Amino acid sequence: MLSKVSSRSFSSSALARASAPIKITSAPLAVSPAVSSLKVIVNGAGSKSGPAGLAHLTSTFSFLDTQSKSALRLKRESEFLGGAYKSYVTRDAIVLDATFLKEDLPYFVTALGSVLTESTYKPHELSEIVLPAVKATYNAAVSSASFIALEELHALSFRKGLGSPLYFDGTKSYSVEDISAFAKSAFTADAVEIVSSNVTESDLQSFIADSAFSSLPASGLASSAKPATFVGAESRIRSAGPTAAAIGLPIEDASTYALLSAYLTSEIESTLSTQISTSIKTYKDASLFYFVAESSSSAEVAAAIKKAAAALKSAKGLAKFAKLAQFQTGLTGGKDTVSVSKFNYVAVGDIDALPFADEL
Amino acid sequence: MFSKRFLSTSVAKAKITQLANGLTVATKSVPSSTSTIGLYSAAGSRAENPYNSGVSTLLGSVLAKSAYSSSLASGVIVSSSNSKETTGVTFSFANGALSDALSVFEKTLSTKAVESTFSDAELIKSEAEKAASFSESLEEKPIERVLEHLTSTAFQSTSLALPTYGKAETVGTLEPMDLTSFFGKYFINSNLALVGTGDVDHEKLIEFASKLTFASGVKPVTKPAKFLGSEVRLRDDTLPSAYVAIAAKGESVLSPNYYVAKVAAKVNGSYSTASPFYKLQGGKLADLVSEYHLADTFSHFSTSYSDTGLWGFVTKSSNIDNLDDLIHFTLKDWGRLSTSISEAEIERAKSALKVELLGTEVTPLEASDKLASDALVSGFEASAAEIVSRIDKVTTSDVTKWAQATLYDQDIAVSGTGQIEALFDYNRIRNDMSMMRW
Amino acid sequence: MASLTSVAKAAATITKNPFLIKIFSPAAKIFTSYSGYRQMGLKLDDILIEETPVMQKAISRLPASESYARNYRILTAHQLSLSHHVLSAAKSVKPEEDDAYLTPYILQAEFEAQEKEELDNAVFQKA
Repeated sequence: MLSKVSSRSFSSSALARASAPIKITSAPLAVSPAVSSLKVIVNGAGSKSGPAGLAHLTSTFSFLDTQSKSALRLKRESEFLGGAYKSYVTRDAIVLDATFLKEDLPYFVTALGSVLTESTYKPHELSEIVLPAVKATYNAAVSSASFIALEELHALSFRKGLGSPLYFDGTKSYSVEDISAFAKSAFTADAVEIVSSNVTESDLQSFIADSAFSSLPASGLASSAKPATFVGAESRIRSAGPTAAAIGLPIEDASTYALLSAYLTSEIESTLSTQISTSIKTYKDASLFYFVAESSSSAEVAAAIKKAAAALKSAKGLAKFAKLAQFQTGLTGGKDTVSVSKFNYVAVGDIDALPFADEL
Repeated sequence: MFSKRFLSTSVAKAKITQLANGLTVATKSVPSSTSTIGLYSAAGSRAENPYNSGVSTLLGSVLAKSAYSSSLASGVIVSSSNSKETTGVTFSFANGALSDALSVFEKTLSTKAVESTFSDAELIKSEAEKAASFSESLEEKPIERVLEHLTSTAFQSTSLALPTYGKAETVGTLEPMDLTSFFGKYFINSNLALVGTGDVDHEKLIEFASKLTFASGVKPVTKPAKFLGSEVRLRDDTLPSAYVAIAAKGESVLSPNYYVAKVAAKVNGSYSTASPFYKLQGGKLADLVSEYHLADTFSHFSTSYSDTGLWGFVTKSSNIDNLDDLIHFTLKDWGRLSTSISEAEIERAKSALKVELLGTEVTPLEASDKLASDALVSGFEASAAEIVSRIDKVTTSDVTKWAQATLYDQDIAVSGTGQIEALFDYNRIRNDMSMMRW
Repeated sequence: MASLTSVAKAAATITKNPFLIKIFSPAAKIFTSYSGYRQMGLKLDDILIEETPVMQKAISRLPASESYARNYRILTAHQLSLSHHVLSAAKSVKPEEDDAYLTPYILQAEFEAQEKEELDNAVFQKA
């Protein structure tokens, strides 16, 4: 540690205080060496936590007014410095993502810390900025039939928690007090994880110690228990536009299902008119295997989903797809055969043309 | 003080070697769990003519398809990529599986393999049908459509005007002979680059390249493209919005003003009402557009080809009645680049450009396309430090001088689709490229 | 027009100084009673000029109930004006009811406008 001489000089007290409980990891340089990036991952603040949609609203409130700086000033200053930031919600976490020129690290550490500790959650921001933005995100997402199918697949597989919708869909109404209370309970030191890229770690630690990050409250974040999972359910959603069908199930043995998804990739190819996607969604406390087909032709979707279901019921000789599985998911190993009798099934769009679960 | 540190840490510099037979080998390390190798020819849609338009796309997809299924199990994904000036067949694989990829490469692109693929009339026919419907599907996407037609009208009657993925009516009729003759003419050592991105050893790739047996010959010459002020309108009131692209002649890849034009495009940058921050962003045009809801999105670009370019913007507006205001105020704002742009605006644009060029994460496959185009078109890829220093050197007066010569009172190409009733006629729009007063 | 921000600043100076309060407070009371808006059923914040971007923004941010009450008071005042009446002392707005319900929103909107003006005209300085 001491052998690493930083190019900046710091007061020793700053370094001494850098024992914040915040977890810092560094990722390989993903972009150019002139640019750094910081990802602040707030675990447990994702859409699986709290009432449906609240996490998405809270995430969209990021980088707006704080006690020390207005949203406008932050935006304009970072434009001058050369920085871009965004916030998005996953099922597990709220992620604040900033990319900036390497020399602007202290500015963005401060800005990210402020988002978590001193956002003011003003009512007019909710109506003027946040609600239109979440609506745009939601509308863009649900224009895809596969997205709707995968959301429903999560709902069938997990019901609550991971089964909650990813985005705010407008069915409930939340006040800024609700949002602020959710943020206050979720934004705690032990929930926060910082992933840095192209940043001198000792610099980062001392900047974090000097920033609002160090004032994040420590809280006994309940370690999440394994969520209950469900299989054998079917859901059919009639809607206009393209048709999609998805099958999937909550899984434990990710390696084998990585093989299965590699196998399905090669068995059922995407065509110009039909998009096939199959993979594993990995979350902190569970994983979901899925296969989804989308097309403007419902007959093609029906054919693809039948094939996939048949493969799921008895797939043999998976081992020879080990290399493809490694390419797609990075996973190795896994069993040579899969036989699943019960899975979840979602049909979206022109559902008259799609089979029922028991016909698969 | 910190800018100096960029130089010492610039690790991801591309290595480019030209072999004695003329073949270019280029590699670049990209942090990722996967890697890509690819063979690219410096011949894209620009090397086609109106009668074989789409042949480069078809050639790539036929070659990729010939090996796709059989190589999946070995963990190598074969795909093809096309641009106006390049055609490539790429092989993506998990890091460490380079030998698998090289063997698939051989199976796909050896002289014998190519010959047998090109004699498979059935494969070519089915891929041609697919390529035709792909080309049609692009026409269904309004933004892609206006941009393709913008290039098409701006460089009309030159081969740069041909659509990148071919014309549906010609690509569907192409025959094996078209592929063979295109391959014979453009897949020659002097016109080819073997590219590796991700975790690919440069020396290993050179060793592999030296064993390749593509034909030799003089690099084919591309006819220069000439810009013509013109317009194309594809009015379609069934679309929900108006989509318009306008551009003046821009800078080529090797132009000394390449970065000046890029900075100028970043002064007004891009705008999208889908962003939570769109009302907060700086820029006079963005301010005006958000204040009066003139557009849903706009994006300024400086696109460069080997000998010419396009500088302009593309927009989508659901406020169709005020489209004339949007165009007028946008072009007026371009006028400020020649007259009264402030130093603060230029500095902001430079910062934004740096972050965009250097801060965007790319997959090895994307990096491969870019590296190939750099290696084949300009012969080098600028390192991060070079990009930073060239952008830093751009001054306000550089931009002003460039704009006075390139934008002020210059001809423009206009392309529009959707509900463009309120898109004024060419001369009214052209008049906004200059001002009665300064 | 002087911004409400400067008015608020002046008011703060006055209320901090017992001597100034002694002068201004009775004067303000007399001024308010002579201006007569309370007899028209209005609060002070109802009669501020509203045809400005700042005021429009402030008014648009009022909670629904405040906005409704404001419109109702303005309608009442119009009706009174039309019929050449004023409210009886019992029905007119009491001094304690005459709260500055809109002022915080105006101050916020003025702050935003002023900050935007400043940032729009930021000058680049070489470090």
